[in-house]
Amino acid sequence: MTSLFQNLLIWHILLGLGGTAFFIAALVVMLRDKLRLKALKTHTLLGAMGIIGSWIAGGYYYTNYYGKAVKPLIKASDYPWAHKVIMETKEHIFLFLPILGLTAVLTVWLSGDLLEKEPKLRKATALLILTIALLGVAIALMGVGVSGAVGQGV
Amino acid sequence: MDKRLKIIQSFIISATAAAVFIPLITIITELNPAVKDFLKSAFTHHWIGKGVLALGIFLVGAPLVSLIRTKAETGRTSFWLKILTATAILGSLAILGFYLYEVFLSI
Repeated sequence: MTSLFQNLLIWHILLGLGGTAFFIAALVVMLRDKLRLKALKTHTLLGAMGIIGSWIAGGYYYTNYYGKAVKPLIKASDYPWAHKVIMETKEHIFLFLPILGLTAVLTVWLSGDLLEKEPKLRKATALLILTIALLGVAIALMGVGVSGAVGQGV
Repeated sequence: MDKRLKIIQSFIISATAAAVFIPLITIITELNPAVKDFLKSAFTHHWIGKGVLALGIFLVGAPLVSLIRTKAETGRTSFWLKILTATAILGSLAILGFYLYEVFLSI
C-alpha cells in the first residue's frame, strides 16, 4: 500500500471516530437539563465536518484502492462473505451520514433557542443525533470486521 | 422564526427523500447490473454516483420543497425529524438485510 492510501485510511478512521465522538458529546449536551446551545452548535458542526472528511478520505481509498487490492484478499480469506455483507453494507450506510450530519447542523444552528423552549423539537433533534452516533459506531465496528477478514486473507 | 423553521423543514424533507433513495438505488444496482454500469460510466464508480445523486437530492431538493406553501411550525418540524430518523434506520436495516439475504439465503 502506498503512503497516500495509508494516510487516507488513517484519516478515514480518525475523522470518522472523531466525528462520531462529537455527535455523542452533542447528545450528552441535549440530555442535560440546561441546554448549552453554544457547545451543542460546536459539537454538531465539528461532528459533521469529521464525518464529511472521513467520507471523502474513505471514499477515495474505497474507489481507488480497496477493489483492486483489498477485496481479493477478503475473498481469499476464510470469510469471503465479509466483503459483501460487511464492507458493502458499511459503505452504503455511510452514504446516509453526511446528509444526516448536515441536517443536524442546520437544525441546531437555525432553531437556536427554540430547542430550549420546545421539548418536542429538542427530543426529535436528540433522536436524530443519537441515530447519527449509533450509525457511526456501527460503521466503525464494521470497519474492524473488514480489517479482521483482510488479516485472515494475507 | 417561521422563515428559519421553513428552511430547516425543507432540508429535513429533502434529507428524507435522499434517505429513501440510498437503499433503493443500492438494491436496484445489485439486482440490475445495467444501472450499476450506467453509474460507473457516468461517475467513474457506482458508489460515487450514489453519493453524488443522494447529495444532489438533499441540496437541490430543499429549495424546491421550500417553494411549497406550507406553514412551518415546531410540531411539524419535529414530526419530519422523526420521519427522517426512522427512514435512516429502516434504510440501513434494509441495506444490511438485502446483503445478508443475497449472501446467505439467495439461491
